[in-house]
Amino acid sequence: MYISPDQFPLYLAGVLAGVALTIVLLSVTGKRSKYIAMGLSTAGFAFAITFIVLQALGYFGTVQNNPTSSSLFATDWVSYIFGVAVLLVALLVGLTAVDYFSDVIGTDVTTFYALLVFTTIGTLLLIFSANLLMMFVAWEMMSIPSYVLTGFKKKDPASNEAAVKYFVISAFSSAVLLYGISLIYLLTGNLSIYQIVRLMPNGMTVSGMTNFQPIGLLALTFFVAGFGIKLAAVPFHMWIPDAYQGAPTIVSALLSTATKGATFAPAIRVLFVMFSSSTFQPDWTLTFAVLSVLSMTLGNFAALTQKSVTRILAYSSIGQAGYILIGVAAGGQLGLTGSFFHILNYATMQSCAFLAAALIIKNVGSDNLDSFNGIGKRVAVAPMALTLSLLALGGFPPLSGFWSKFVLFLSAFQSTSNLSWLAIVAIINSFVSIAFYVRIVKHMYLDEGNSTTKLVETNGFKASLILASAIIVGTGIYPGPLIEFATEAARSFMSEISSTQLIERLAFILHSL
Amino acid sequence: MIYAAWLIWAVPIISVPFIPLIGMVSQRGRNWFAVLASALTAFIGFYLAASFSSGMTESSIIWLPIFKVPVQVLVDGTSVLLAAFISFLSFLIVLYSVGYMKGEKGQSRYYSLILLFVGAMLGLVMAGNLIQLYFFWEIVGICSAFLIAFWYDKPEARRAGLKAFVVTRFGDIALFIAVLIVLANLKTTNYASIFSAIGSKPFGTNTVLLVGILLLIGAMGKSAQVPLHVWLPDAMEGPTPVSALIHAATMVNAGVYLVIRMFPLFSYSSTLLVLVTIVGLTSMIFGAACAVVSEDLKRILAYSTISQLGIMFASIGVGTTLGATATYHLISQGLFKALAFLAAGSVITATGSRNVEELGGLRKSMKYTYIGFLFAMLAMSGVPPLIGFWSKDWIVSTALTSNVVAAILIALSSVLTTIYSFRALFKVFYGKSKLPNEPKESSTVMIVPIMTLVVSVTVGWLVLDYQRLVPFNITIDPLTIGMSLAAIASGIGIVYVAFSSRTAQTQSLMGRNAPLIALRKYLLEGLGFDKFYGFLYSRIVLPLAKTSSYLESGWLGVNMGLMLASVLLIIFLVALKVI
Repeated sequence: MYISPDQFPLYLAGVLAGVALTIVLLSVTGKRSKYIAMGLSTAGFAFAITFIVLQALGYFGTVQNNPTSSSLFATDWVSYIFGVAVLLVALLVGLTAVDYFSDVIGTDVTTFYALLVFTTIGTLLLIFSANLLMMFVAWEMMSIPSYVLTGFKKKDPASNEAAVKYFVISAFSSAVLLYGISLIYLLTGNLSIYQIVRLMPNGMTVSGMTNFQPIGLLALTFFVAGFGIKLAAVPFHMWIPDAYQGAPTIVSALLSTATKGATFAPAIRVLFVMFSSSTFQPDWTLTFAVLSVLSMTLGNFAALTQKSVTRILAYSSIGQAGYILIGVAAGGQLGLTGSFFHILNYATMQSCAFLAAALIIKNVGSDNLDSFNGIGKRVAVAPMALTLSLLALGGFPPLSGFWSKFVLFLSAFQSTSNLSWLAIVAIINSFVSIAFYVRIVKHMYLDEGNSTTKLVETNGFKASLILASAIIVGTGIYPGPLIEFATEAARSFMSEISSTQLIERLAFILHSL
Repeated sequence: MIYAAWLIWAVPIISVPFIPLIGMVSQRGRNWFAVLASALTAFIGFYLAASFSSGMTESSIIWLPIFKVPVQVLVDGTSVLLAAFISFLSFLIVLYSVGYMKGEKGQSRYYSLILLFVGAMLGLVMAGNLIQLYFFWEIVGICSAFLIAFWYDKPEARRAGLKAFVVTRFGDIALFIAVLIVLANLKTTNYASIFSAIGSKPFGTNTVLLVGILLLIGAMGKSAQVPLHVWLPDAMEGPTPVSALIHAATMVNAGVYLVIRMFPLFSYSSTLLVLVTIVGLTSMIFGAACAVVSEDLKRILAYSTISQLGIMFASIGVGTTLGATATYHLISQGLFKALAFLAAGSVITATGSRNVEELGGLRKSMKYTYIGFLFAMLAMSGVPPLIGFWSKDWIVSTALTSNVVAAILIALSSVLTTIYSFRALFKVFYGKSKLPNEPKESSTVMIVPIMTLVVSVTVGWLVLDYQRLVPFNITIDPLTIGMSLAAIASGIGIVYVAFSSRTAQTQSLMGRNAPLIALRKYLLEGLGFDKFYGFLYSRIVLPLAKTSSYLESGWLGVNMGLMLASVLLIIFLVALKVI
């Protein structure tokens, strides 16, 4: 079967949209529908993962498309690895939702699954988009269902508050992003990321402006701010702890990994393709180095004194965004490899941590650190999975986080822009972060709890947590294949703009003459 | 033969998951399975040592193709000798554990962690490149922290576990940075490639110096050298076999091994060697001084480990024997320290007390334990012909030819060593018993390892002299023997006077003399390192942490305002640049 890579994302979205609509129809049929919805969405996600893997292996003809044509989508290795990561997180969250909401009053879990699939569709399209307008539409498709998911506990004021905060801040990010897009359109008269790059450095603009730099930089700023808010990079991070704490914890798992990770794909396309010209690159290299240091330091230090597990995880998510940005700042193939690899690992580590915490919080009724005391004796899988994912987030071998941090720090040392200081700050930060990761482990296993009654671990949670832990340990012991994929993604990226860039640019100029 | 080099660390690691599985069926079966696994490891270790001929062999499997990082085993004299030594000692300690841990809760956790700990340490020793070494280095660190906190019902044990974890991380960061710098500059971390690149362009004098200092800090963290030693005395809260393992076979040796392994790098720069010597000598004197006043039997041994490791560092820094003296002392220290801990553990199980002031007169009731402890203390003080005499006097002899100050300091520290060794021996085994009941000798499964170690301490030097793995060629000059015998004699003399014949006078002297009281107090507190670190945490880290979370006021308006302000700030910065 042949599928044009230009249209591949549409097939993918189409299948999932079918799943989502079926689930919506199901929701009118009655009580048992939530299990069918769970089965359907899980099957849908699993199918989508298989679909992407087959496409990446070339079963449907051409593996990658040529986004320099006016295609809406860039079907390349970046999209594949991000797509699989997002679908995996959605699958993990989907497995737990029935159990998590089982005793929350006033919720309809079937609707939750429909929203989950819808937001996943938006996320996937965002990852694949190579056109600024497509990107914006996908951005909104991803965001709007996620507001509802955040406020899904209708009767819980904290959940509602989180939804409102998330909505307002996210609307701000959309606005800023849209403004950036409009400025780019003003400059170049084009919306396709891979074509804009050829228009930018020549100053050939539709409006006839010769000096594109000030407006271009303004647009760049807006892109940084818009993406920064979703990425939870300091100084755009203030909403994160409240939103993650208030939202249903399994939704925090989704927001902090799928939504956030997926935002990196368009961000990297915009930075490394659209703004890759030498006029801009020096500016954003330093900008991202600074953002990275701020995010790491603030996230990790603020987490030290927190009393709530979800808030600690929220701050950890801010800190981890800082690590990922190291690769963006360092650039080059190694830097991008590190970023991609760390996003992949981060997706499983952080979602595993949130999901395990979700199970415990649901059972003990509080996310306070003290209420986690002695959990290790009351239940088996969740504290184990939480421990594994926290140690992985802290970067301990032999777990997955160690390798991606290793690549990231190495990329900073090898970077041409002399970022050794960034690597050293990052390593010190990594050390500080151990303190609060281990603190949670200490509360679970070492401290004496008030109660010793055993907790119920439902199968959905167990399956999800064991799957995530297996990925964390497996990647840690044998990271080879995943690093290969990440390198492949980085390579496809770099060659596009470095080796062929000049020739294409020349051809374009000749053509437009 | 090369398969043995892979198996020796794979066997204990692979047997880890079987421990809890067998534990579900049979408790006894699980314990003996652990003993069997470690016996097999020891057997492989001896096989490896016996079949090793000479030179250096590497064997590798590609692991991370991108960075050309293979899983690699390096088979050379040092690694094989240490692997055989570690696996042998670990076997004895696991065997001893069967008796010591009888009736404890959570033994599946205990044996799985022990096997992982030993496996990781063997992997560290056999590793052929720095990345692999770091990988196992971290696993060793995690296992030790969990083992120290094994009795998590005790708050002190939990604190000690966390402390070991956090303090050794300081060293780990430095090691990690060193690994990254090496990799970034040379694109490889293979030992041989590093050594051949030393001095040439991307790895010039300054880089070597930097890497060397970072490696040294890493080694100091693991090997508990001043000022990163604070975790070791507290680590005594763990079960005694764990202490024996940490002090004799695994954890603390990792740091010394790192410096021995990277000796060509250290010897490239004389500054580095001087630094190593200074670190070693400082820790040697500090550890010995603290051990003299400590009242906890296990803490005395812990401080003595800091001191003995200091001697190893100093001997590497003196630098005449390519680290062979340190290797010898590492094995010698491992043997007599393991013996001391196992005997101390036997005392603790029998009496339930670790305070030397509460014990006494155990010589008659615990005969075998007494013999074990006696031999350990004799070897530690360096009484000929036990193994400690050979290792220490060889160090002093080699130091005499190149660094006389170091040699004299090491010889003088023997006085302190003898004092704390015999003080512990006298207080615990001589005098009148202060215990309410007569303690009983420990079970056979604990006595067998102790007696094996007594034999090892006595004849171990013969084995070490005749093995072909690392040719030691010990030469000890008569002056050294004279010096150390004088040191031992004066040490024993002081102890005998102070704690046996004139106890009353000593006590009144200690009670009246203000400087002595103050000195004792400071030494008991470990010279205030703990306080200093506590101060750093509460005055710097905590305020920083509090400030960081101020920004999240939780008010939407404030958040939006701050966010707008940041966007404007970035625009402003950009505008500044454009104009």
